Amino acid sequence: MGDEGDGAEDAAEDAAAPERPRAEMVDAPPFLSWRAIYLIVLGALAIEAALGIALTVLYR
Amino acid sequence: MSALDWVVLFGTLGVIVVYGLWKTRGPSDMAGYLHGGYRDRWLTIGLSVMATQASAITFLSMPGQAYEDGMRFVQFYFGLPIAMVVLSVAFVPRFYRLRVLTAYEYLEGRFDLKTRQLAAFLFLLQRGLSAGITIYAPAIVLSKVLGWSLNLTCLAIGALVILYTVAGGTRAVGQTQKHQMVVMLGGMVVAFVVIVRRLPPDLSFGHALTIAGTFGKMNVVDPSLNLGNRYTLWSGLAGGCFLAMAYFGTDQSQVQRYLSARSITESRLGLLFNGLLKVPMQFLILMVGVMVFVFYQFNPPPLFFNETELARLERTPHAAELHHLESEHRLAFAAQRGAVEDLSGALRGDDPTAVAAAKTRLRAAAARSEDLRRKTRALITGSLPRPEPNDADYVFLTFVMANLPRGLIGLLLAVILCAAMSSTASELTALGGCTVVDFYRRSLRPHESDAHYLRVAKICTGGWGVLAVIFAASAALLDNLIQAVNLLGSLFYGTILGIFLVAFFLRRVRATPVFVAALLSEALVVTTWRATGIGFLWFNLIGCAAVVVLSLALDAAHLGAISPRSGDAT
Repeated sequence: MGDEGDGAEDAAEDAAAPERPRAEMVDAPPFLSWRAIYLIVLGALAIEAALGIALTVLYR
Repeated sequence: MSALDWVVLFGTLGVIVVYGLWKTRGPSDMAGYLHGGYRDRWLTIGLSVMATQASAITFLSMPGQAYEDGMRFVQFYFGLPIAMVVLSVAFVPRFYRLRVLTAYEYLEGRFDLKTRQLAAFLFLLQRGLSAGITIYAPAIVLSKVLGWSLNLTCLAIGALVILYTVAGGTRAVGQTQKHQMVVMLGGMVVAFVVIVRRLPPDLSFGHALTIAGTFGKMNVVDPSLNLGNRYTLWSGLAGGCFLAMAYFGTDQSQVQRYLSARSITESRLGLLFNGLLKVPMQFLILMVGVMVFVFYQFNPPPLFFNETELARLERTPHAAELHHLESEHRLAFAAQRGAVEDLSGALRGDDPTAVAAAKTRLRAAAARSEDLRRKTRALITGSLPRPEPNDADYVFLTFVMANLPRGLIGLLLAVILCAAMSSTASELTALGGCTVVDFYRRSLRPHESDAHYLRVAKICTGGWGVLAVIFAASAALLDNLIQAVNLLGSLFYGTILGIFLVAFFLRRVRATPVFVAALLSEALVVTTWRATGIGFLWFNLIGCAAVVVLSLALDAAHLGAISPRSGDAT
C-alpha cells in the first residue's frame, strides 16, 4: 500500500491510456520562468483591482 | 434588419463553421475526437477556453446587468486569475501525468469507481441543464429578429451546433472557437466605440462616466464584508476563485479544452492567457452596458425593454393603464433629460457646487422614471399569465436593433450566436465524452473497439444536443439568465472541487469517506441555498470546505477502514 496518491498515479500511468509523445511533458515556458509568468498574471489582477477602486472612488 | 446585416450574420457564421469542418476533416479515433489529436497551441487553447466560458448569455445579459446594476459584476471574475495560477501549478500536471480523457477518470485512480462516477454524474446533471440555457438565450434574440417561434429558433440553433460538433468533435470545436472568439472580442470593441460616438459630441468620456456614477453604475469594487451582498471584492476573490477553480479544473467542458494542447506548457500558457485577458474583457462588456445607460439619458428609452410583454399587455383590459404609464414616462424622460443636460453643462463649467446640485436634481428626476418602470413591472406581473417582469436581458439587444448602423447589427448578432455556438459545442462534446468514457466504456461495454466507442461518442454528443434543445424550448425566462447559469454551477461545483482537492492534497483520505462527505456536502449546499439568503458565490466555498472537512472527519472516524486504499483498488 503506502502513500495512496503516488501509488494511484503510478498505477494509473502504467495502465492502458491513449499514447501521446513524451515531449508533451516537457514543461519549460518559451519565455521568462513560470514564476515570473505567474507574477505577471497576479500583478495584472492587482492593478485591475486598484483601477476598479480608483474608478469607484472617482465616479461615486 | 437590412440585407447587409443578413449577409454579415450568415456570412460570419457560415465561414467559421465551414472552415472549422474543413480544417478538421478526415478520419478520427476516440482520443482524436475527444482531444483533437493533441495538436493545439496555447493561443488556440486560451481563446477556446475563453470562448467556452463566454456564452451568448455573457453578451445578452451582462450589458443589461450593467445597465440595471452597474459595474460591480466584474468582481465576480477577480478570483479567476488566481485560479488559473493554481490550476497551472496543481491540476494540469496531474491530469497530464495520468493521461486522462476526462477529469473524473483521475478520481478512480485516486479513490474508486463510485467517487469517479458521482463527480461525473454531478457534472452531467448541472452541465446538461446549463446547455439548455445556453441555447435558450440566443434563441430569444433570433426569435425576436426573425419573428420565428421560440421553439423553432431553439431547434435551428441546436441543429447547427449539433451538426459540426458531432461531425468534427473537439478539434472542430477548438478551430471554430478560435475564430468565434476573435469575432466576439472584435464585435464588442466596435460596439463600444460606436456607442461612445453616439453620445452627445460635447460630452467627454470622463463626463459620461460621471453621469453613470451619479446613478451608482460605477460601483466597480465593493470592499464591504456583507455576506448577503452578492458581488463584493471578497466574494469575488474567494468565492470567484473557488468557482473558477471548480469550473476550469473539474468541468469536463473546460478540462477537455486544455487537455487537447500539444504539451503541458501549451495548456498552462493557454490557461494563464485566459487569466490575463478575462477581467479586462468582462470589464469591457459591462462598460458597454454602462455606456448604453448613458446613451439612454440623452435619448428616450422604452418604458420596458421586452416589447413582447408590452404587446401582450396591449391585448388585455389593462392597456389603458399601460398607455397612461407611457405618457407619464415621456414626461419623466423630458425632465430627466433636462437634468442630465444641466449636469453635463455643470461638468463642462468645472464648478463643483453646480455639479453637486445638478446631480441631486438628476437623481430626483431619475427616481420618477424608475418608479414608472417599477409600476410597469408590477402591471405585467399582475395582468399577464406567465409574466416576464425582468427586461434586463433585452436591454442590449433593443439598443443594437434600434441604434446601430447597418452591417454592425448583423455583426453584433453574429457575436451573440458565435458565443452561443462556441459554449454549447464545448458542452456537448464534454457531455458526450463523459457519458462514454466514465459510464458506457467503464461500466456498460468495456471491451468494444475504438471505432465502436467513437460511434457511441458521436451518438451521445448528438443525444445531449437534442436534450439541450428540448430543455431550451421548455425553459421560461429565469430571473436573469447569467445568474441562473452561475447559480446552477455554484450548487454543484463546490462539491466537485472539494473531491478533487482531497484527491490532490489529502493523500491519507480514502474513498468511502470522501464519497459520503460529497453526498453530505451537496445536501448542505442545497439546504443553504433554500434556507438562507447567502450570495451564491459562497456556495462554492461552502461545498468545497464541507467536502474537505467532512472527509477528514469521516476518515479519522475510521469510515475509511471499510474502503481499501485507492492504490489497491485499481
